[in-house]
Amino acid sequence: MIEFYLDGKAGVAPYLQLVQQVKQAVRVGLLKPGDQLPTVREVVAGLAINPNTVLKAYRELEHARLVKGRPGQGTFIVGTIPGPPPGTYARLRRGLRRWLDDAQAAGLDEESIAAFVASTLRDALEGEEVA
Amino acid sequence: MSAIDAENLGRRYGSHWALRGCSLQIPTGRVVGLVGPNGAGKTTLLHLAVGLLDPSEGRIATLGSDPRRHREVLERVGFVAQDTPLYPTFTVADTLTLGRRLNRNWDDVAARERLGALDIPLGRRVANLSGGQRAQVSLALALAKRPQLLLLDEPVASLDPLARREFLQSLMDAVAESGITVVLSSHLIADLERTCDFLVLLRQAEVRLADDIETILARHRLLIGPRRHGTGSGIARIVRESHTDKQSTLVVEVDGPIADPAWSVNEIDLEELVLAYLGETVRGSAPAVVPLQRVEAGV
Amino acid sequence: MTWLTYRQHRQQALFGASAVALIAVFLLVTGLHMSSAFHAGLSRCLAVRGHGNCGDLEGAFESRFGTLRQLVPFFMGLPLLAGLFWGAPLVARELEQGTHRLVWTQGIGRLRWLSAKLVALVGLTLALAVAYAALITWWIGPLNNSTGDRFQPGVFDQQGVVPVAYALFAVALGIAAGTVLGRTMPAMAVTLVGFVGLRLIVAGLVRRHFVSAVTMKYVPVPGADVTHPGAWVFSQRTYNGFGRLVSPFDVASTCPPNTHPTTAALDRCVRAHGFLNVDVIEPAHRFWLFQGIEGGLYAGLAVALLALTVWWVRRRLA
Repeated sequence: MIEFYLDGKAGVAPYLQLVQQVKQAVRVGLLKPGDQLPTVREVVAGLAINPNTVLKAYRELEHARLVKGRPGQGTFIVGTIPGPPPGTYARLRRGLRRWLDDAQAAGLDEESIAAFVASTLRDALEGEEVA
Repeated sequence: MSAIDAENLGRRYGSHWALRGCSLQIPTGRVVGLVGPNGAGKTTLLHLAVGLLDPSEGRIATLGSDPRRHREVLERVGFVAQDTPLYPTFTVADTLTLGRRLNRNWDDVAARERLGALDIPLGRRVANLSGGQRAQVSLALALAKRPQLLLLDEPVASLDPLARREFLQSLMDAVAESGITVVLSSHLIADLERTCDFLVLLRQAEVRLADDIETILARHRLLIGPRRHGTGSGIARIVRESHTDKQSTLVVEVDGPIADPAWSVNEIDLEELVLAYLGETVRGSAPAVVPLQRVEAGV
Repeated sequence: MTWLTYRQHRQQALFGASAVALIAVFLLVTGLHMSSAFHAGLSRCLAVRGHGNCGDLEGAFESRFGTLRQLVPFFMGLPLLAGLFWGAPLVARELEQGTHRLVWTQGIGRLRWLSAKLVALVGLTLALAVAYAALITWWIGPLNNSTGDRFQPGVFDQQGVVPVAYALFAVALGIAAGTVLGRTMPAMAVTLVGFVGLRLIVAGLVRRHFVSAVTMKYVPVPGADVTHPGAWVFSQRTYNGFGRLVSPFDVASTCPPNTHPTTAALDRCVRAHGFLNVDVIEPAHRFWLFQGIEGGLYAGLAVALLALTVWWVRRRLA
């Protein structure tokens, strides 16, 4: 069974943190289809958070077809997060190395590169959400 | 029916108004955070809601009834006053008996189970309990009458972090179990952020905010840009502004997209927003030149 | 609410009841002793010869039981103790500890809470005070009869109906002070000052005016003092024919019994010189009337204070 944690300073809404933690657990194989997620009461009693937060997270996961709530029984993993096709990581790494060389040549130091990546990623995700 | 419905509610002591012109509706089924500095009127509002005080003007209805005229409504309202008052010479069991004798609906078994799960011995005198245990006993006492509404006046203010976390765990568990409405006043905004979905903010005896937290956060933005005044389309109201010679930082209420591209528009977290409201710039005063309140990471 | 009142105040009640029980045992034991000693001889003598004429027997009785008489003033403090330790904390403690915010937001309202507490405390005080008053009135009987001073200030206060009224007043004052002031210690101070002050004022200044005193004028008989057993004597004065104040000694020296062998001769001498005794008293038969008036006064004050308490809790503490 997964145990949730909350990062108060993460700048990410609590319910989203729960969603991300479930997705990550599925991704790395910690949670497989058929496994049960903690009940709302268990999460709430453990983290001292609003039950609506948990309900919202579970609803979102259900919407993403990753989990299914069975009345009287609990919430269960029903899906998987498909990994990328083989060779994807190698290809992406090569592209990323090229980009990094480009950035360094342009004069960006490590901190600037990290900040630039973070803000661009955030904007991209925001665009995704709005859409 | 609202959990609490106040209309132009006011209470004064001599010439000093502890609460004034308070109109709000707190919906049921929520966990409501009540914030404000000391003396802002939080305790006054809660005491008016449970009939410990009479209004000086206006009116208040708790679960639809006037708590002074229809005292029966208090059987459905749990209240934990500041400093969790209990009778020091009573044992924990005596305290539960008190509740059982004075209330018509009483779930003694659940109360004992709850305290047993927390390892609070029923035979111990209240005076010998720790602060955290007293808070838990007060909470159990309030919950055992199976209320629809639970009001808590700074219940965790004097508790150590562990006791505080345990108290909030118990509280949230109770909400998950029975769906009661909770109004919780506190200074600790981090606690409120985790537990609450509705916020009431009081400052200087007046209500400044009363809404769903999600809505509040969606309606406010932090604007950073070159030094200028905060006008233009999208900015409905400036909550707080500060300026250096080169830069302006504004906390604003928005009613549309910010037209001026010079502003960097950021979401604001609840704690910063509450602080902005508590230190609200009074309308009409000239912007002060103050050091930057907040430095945004990122570009 | 009965359970809560009992549980909250059981220590106080127990303490008070045991104290009264101890006093009761003391009174019973010494009282029976005194009573039997009194009836052994003194009572008959007084019935036959009247006060002041049983010298030896009276002296013997006094030397045996005079010290007990000195205990009597201590009993004056009992109602005050009830007021201080039962009355003052009743509401004040609740307000001080903030527990009124707990108990007034349970299912019962303020009025039921208050009336349960008042009924319990006033009822207990009444019961114990009545028992005490009955006991001490019986106990002090022989002492009264031996000296005939039951109407005197200080003795009047110890017996009959008034101890009950004092106790009710002290407790009501304590409760009211505690309610209005909201703190136990200041309430106790106010109760102390208020109770002692009023008792002194009423006993010293007001009581004598309940009913106008009776002035008795009569011809003195030298060598035979007229006493008024059981009455409250304000003054006994002797005047001569010119209206000047004189002492009984002057009468006896002007009309000495040995030169006037018959009572008729003595009487003629005294009248010839115009001597007159003027006694201002409250007659003995008014004792219970005065008890009733003073009791009613204190009881009325107690009721007013309790009404103030109820009003304060309902209106002012909101």
